[in-house]
Amino acid sequence: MRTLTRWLLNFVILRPNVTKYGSPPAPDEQEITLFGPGYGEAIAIHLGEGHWILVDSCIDPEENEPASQVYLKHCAVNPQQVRAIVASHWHDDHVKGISRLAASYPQAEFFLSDVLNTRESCAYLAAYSGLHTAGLTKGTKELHSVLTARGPGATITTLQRTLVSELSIGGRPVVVRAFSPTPQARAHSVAEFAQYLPTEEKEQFRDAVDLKPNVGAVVLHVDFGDDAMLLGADMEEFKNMGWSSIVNSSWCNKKTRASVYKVAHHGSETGHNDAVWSVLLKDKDKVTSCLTPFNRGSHRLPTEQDQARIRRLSGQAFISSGASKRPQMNSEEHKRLQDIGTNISVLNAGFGAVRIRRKVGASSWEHELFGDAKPL
Amino acid sequence: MGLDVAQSIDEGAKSTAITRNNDVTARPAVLSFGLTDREETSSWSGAEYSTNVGYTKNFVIDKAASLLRDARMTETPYVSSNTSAIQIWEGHVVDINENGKSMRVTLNAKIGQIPDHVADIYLEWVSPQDRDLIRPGAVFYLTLFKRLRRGTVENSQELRFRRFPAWSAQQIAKIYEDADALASKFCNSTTECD
Repeated sequence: MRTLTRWLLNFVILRPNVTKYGSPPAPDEQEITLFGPGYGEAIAIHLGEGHWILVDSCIDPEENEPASQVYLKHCAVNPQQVRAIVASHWHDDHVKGISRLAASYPQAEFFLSDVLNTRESCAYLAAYSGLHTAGLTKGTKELHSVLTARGPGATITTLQRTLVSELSIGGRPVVVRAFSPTPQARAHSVAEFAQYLPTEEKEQFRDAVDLKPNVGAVVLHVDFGDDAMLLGADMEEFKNMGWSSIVNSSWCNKKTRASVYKVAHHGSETGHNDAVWSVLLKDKDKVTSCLTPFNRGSHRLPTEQDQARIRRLSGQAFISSGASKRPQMNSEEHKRLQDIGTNISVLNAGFGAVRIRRKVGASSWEHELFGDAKPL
Repeated sequence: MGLDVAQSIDEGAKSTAITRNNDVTARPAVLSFGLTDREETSSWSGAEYSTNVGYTKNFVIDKAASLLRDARMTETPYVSSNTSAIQIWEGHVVDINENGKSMRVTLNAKIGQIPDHVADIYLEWVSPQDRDLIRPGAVFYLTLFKRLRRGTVENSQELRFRRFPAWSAQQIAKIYEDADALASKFCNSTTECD
């Protein structure tokens, strides 16, 4: 009886849920899992030996919890094993639920782009924190919540060369570094923030807007010594402040070339730079690319051309969600909306995850697809 | 599809609505409602309509009004006693499309369990009085409704921008006070050198 009770306890409570995401990584396995519901992105990385870092956040629609947190629960990860949480930038589709992540893993260091480390950008976060504009704002509200909840000096701002994590796995160094933003990109972003600050009493409230182009995002390089991952965030190319400032930096371009690439900015043309593929990544056949889609009206990424380009440059490529974007409303409502608009589609077209995993020191990576994820 | 004059200026709301009629039903007593994927034949009775499947649905106006109150609206869409809201979408302007003829929006349904959608809405549907409000970050309400007019049931829709209050000097001062508090939460980044 005691044995049966122990078995049930182990199976029902202690055993990781292996149905949704298969088996969790072994201590000697390294992996990246990319989650995406169609409008949103989150990443969980197992550096090895139970050490995790999380990048960005989106919501798992089935569980209504941050997707990374759901995954870590499935893997029975102890909260103390999460070393760092990185918000690559503050757009809604990258930080939904990140305040819940930060609260769930209070011992994890929290990293933000240094573009937010100015009076103007802090004022932007404060203005669009939801305190003054009820019912508006999401991304800014999330980050404001994180900063407010954490103590003084508890949030680390990130520039090119910032060290996010450094440890030894199986006797090999594993180092996570930021490749961006540069000081020039920071200055550009701060000027953008300043444009949207309320400065006069006559100006009306409105929702926080996504500032473009995005050169202030945090690109991460995960260096395993023999191989690496490049996480492109939503970095774009703009006046030598975006990707050019990374690939032209001798500090960046001398680092270990990556064979796993989280494609920047949902695979868009503006997020593309040839030198990323030729300088920062390994030869085509060895590169596994993964990305999340972005769906907002007529603005849908990746386009057919983007997909063809990524396939051409990668050995293999996967997208987290490939489900239909067909409207999910009754036919009458749809017909009537079509009278006044076009390009009507559901915002979150399915939810899926791409997992890329290897044994420490192995020369190749294995992939697994979950939910609506599919080959590009 | 004819343009209905119907410019109604709400008291207090100071917002103008423009509606356009289409699909005027010739026979007001019986019409098809596409409330679900399964079409139902309904008979119109002014304040409520009943379906031929043996149950009565109250006007959704009350529910809509309740939802909108929950959403802390400062204004409510134009509805009157002889109109029936089929759906109310809260829209957020993401961007103005390059052609200058439409705006890219996200739509959040206020009635029923419908996932968020995205769309491009033609700017011609925005009244001239609201044009100054069209910009990224602006919020609007798009109401699809049926209404009884001179004995005829019409499909109509209304698109109204939400007029938010302006920032006060006190709020702006508070923002910068909060900003200083937020800045104290940052620690200097640790950087590697060559």
